[in-house]
Amino acid sequence: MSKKLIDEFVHLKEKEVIKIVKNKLNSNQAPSEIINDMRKAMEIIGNKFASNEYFIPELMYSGEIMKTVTKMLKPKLLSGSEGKENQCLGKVIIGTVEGDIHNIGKDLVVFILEANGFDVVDLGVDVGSKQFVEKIKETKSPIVGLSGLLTVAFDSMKNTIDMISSEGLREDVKIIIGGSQVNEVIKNYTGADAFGQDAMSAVLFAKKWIGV
Amino acid sequence: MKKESNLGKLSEKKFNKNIQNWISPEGVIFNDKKSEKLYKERVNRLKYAIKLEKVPDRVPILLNVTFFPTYYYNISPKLAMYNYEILYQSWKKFLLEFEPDSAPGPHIGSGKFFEILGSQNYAWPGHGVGEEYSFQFIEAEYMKENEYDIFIKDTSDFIVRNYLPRIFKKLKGLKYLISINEMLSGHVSNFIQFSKPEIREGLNFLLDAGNEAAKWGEATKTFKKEIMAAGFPIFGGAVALAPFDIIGNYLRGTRGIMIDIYRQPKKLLEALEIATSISIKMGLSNLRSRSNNPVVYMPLHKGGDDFLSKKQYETFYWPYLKEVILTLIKNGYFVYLFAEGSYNSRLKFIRELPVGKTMWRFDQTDMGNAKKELKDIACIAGNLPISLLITGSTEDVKEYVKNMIKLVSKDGGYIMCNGAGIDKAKPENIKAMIKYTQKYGSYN
Repeated sequence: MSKKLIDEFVHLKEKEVIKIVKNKLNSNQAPSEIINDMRKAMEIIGNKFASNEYFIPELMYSGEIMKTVTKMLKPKLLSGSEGKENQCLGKVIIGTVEGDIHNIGKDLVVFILEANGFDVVDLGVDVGSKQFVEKIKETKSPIVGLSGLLTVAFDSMKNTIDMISSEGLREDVKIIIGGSQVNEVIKNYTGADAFGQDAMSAVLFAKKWIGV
Repeated sequence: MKKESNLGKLSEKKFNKNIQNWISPEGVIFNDKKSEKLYKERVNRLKYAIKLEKVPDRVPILLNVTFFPTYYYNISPKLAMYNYEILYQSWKKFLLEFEPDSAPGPHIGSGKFFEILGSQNYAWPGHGVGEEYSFQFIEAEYMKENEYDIFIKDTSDFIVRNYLPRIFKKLKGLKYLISINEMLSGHVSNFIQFSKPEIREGLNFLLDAGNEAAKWGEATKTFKKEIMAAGFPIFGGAVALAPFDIIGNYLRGTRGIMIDIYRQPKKLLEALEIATSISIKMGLSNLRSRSNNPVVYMPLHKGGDDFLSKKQYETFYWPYLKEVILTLIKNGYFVYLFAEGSYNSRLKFIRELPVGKTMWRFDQTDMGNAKKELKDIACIAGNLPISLLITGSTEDVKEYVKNMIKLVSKDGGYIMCNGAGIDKAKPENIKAMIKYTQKYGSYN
């Protein structure tokens, strides 16, 4: 574990992070170790976000830094023996529901989930109920995230959850909804198991549901 | 009060003239005596609530609807975006049936216009989103991260040659134009460009778009006159934006601007100066063409509690927003702000504004706290949750209305309004919101 790398990443020192990663790769350090450090740092960044020390700029910027580092590691990962270097916590299907094309909140949640070790299947935006159902059948993912900014998305969320139930899959999945207007009332209206109002909620619920 | 006097007598004079024009709108012939009486009562109610000088007869009611009137009367969003007459008739019908003190006009825009120019930054019914869904903005980096310098150096040139060809597919040809500045000599050689097929094609689409926009404009003008004649004042025809949102929504996208805060803060600050003057121009020039009400509407998107830290807000968001607000006020206008999301940690910034010149509609802000912080500064409104209107019963709405009025209506300075815009909701709940505000909101 490199405390320095974690520290610099937590403080969003992009240039420093890149320099350290470069040095580590040059001295043949295993990419998986670097990824582990980056993930540890992301956990701290996530906690800082949850405690209102960090906000959207920090989350998005950390995503950028993470992306740059991942790009640097990629050739090493492919040539080395470590394909799946990290243990995956679990699968999550996510998408913005039918009639809504907003992706900013969803993309942020995807990034945070991935950074926390989840394998995310991102279906994109304006995703119909059927697509969700098919993906659940195909991947056996135990967690489904439905995103929507518009208030008409509430009905699409409800329709999606209704269809998951009528297909006999409701018992197999936990469902979380997200979006700036969702709340307890909308959670009940749609029949979801939880609602999240910020990017971290999805991670907290997902971890709780899979028992880590 | 001291702050207000700083604005000078000139702006007060402008205010009074603008308010006079609101109360007695030029060119509007009321349908009957009753409509005229209702119109004036409604304007006064709103005016007293904003100015904080006097308590109105009762809590004014503003309904913020987006696609509700069309959904309610079974008109598809597609039809609403392609047939201005049908759209406006549904809006008129809605006002007459629900009778709020005011409601925004249909900000729905024109599908035909989008089509003519091949709009890339909007999805609209049948184009990128189903026919039964509303139009939506498509965020992207329409200004690249390395284009700040071009934007800062010559904004209009950037808009014409870089930005418009990106947001309108049919205006691609404009990127072949030479810089407008180069035409200053008036020499024949600089005009050869207008013989190029790509440029001519783009300009022809612009001419078509202009004709369509004029049709839309005519219909809008008629609609506004008709609803005023029927007794409903217009509240906020002109629109200005927070400079941070201009850059974040239209140019760099959320992700872009948030990362720029870290990677190129100085350039972002320079661009915000420019966006400030753009926003002021938007507010004032809009007003000139849509007179009859002294209110500029400013929806605020990316400055809420969850978006930026306090330090980021006071560096990148507030100073520029404040300048826009103050300039509009100096020109004799009220500013109606919609603070999307929650604004709890921003309330103390609002205290820097002059007394009785702004109205803040909140979305998910703690209203009791807002009243406490702002009661001597600004009128507050909003917060009635969309989830209540969609899922609640009329009894739930009644309770909410009763409690909210008790909590924040004391001494005026409060307007009953929903938080997020209404697309779909139970009509009986909207009626209950109005009925019980009339019942419990009386100051007499």
